[in-house]
Amino acid sequence: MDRNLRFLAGLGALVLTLGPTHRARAQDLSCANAVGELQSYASQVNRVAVFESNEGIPARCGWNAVCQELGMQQLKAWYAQQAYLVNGWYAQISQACAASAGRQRPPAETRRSRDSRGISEENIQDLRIDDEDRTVRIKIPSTPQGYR
Amino acid sequence: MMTALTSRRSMCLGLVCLGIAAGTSTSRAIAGVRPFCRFSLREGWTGDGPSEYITRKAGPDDASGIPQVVRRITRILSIDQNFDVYIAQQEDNAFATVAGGRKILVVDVGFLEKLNRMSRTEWGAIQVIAHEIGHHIAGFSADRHRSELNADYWSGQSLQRLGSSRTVAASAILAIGTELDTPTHPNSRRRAATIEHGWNDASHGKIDYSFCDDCR
Repeated sequence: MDRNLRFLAGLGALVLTLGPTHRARAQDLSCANAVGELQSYASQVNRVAVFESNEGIPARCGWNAVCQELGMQQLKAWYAQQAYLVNGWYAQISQACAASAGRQRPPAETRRSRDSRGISEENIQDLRIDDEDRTVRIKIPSTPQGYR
Repeated sequence: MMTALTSRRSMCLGLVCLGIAAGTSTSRAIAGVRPFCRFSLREGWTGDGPSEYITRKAGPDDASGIPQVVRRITRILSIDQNFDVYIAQQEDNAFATVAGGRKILVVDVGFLEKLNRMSRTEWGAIQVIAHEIGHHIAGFSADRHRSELNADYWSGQSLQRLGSSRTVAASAILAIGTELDTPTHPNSRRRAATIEHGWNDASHGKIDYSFCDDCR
């Protein structure tokens, strides 16, 4: 049990170290990079969680069921905290990018060469976190047939 | 040991569900991380059950337009119910459920757009949303076919009142429904007939309450 507690303290330190640093860095990065950084961080968290549940805790606790249960509880608590933090950062990035995108993005007509029908690489750079959703808006049709 | 194994089996990776992607090898997740994680049709948010890739809870003026459509449908049906709308991605699905006492709709907007293209009308998406609302109106019957037909009936009611033509109201089901019954859904012809039944009743100002377990 002591080993698990020490491990938990270690995870806490990881949160304190990586969390604010990541947050501060995310504010300085472009939207795409910020999301990428956050994904990377979340992947790290997931890797730690999966490793701990599959190997770390069993290795430390052996056949001690009480130790394993305690370890899993601590891991779950740590993971819940991480999820909360990541979700919060994600929300911050989403809001910041949505707010800044309107100001930063010039009208499409002025950016695109008039005779160009290909993909504009400039526009690719402007893709935002939830652009996929923004491009689709469901609405009630104005005609009985609803054809576009 | 059994206790530990059991608790580990029930874990779920909550971060994955937010779109903060982890590798595909991380197939487990940790229980207790529920806001945007696994969803059980029976129990709502849970560590078990089918996994849905849900990106966010939609606000009243969500860019997807879904909450606005939902409000319009509840208004024309004169029902006094509030729904929590969640936006899913890459699920090719929409579903209704109840969790924590809240009536919940989960919708993959990309799926609806795809459905509109397949059914060649924008009423396709509206029918699906109305169908999911219909589940909440009719109640969740233990008979799954009955439950689907109930919801279809209410979608027909909704679409007529919103101004669709009768044939178009059933076009989404005919585009993606199955020719034969499945364990969960009746065949597309039967479903289309039920949608048209609802549409016809609405056009005559009638409601057939046999399509509702919870109405009276």
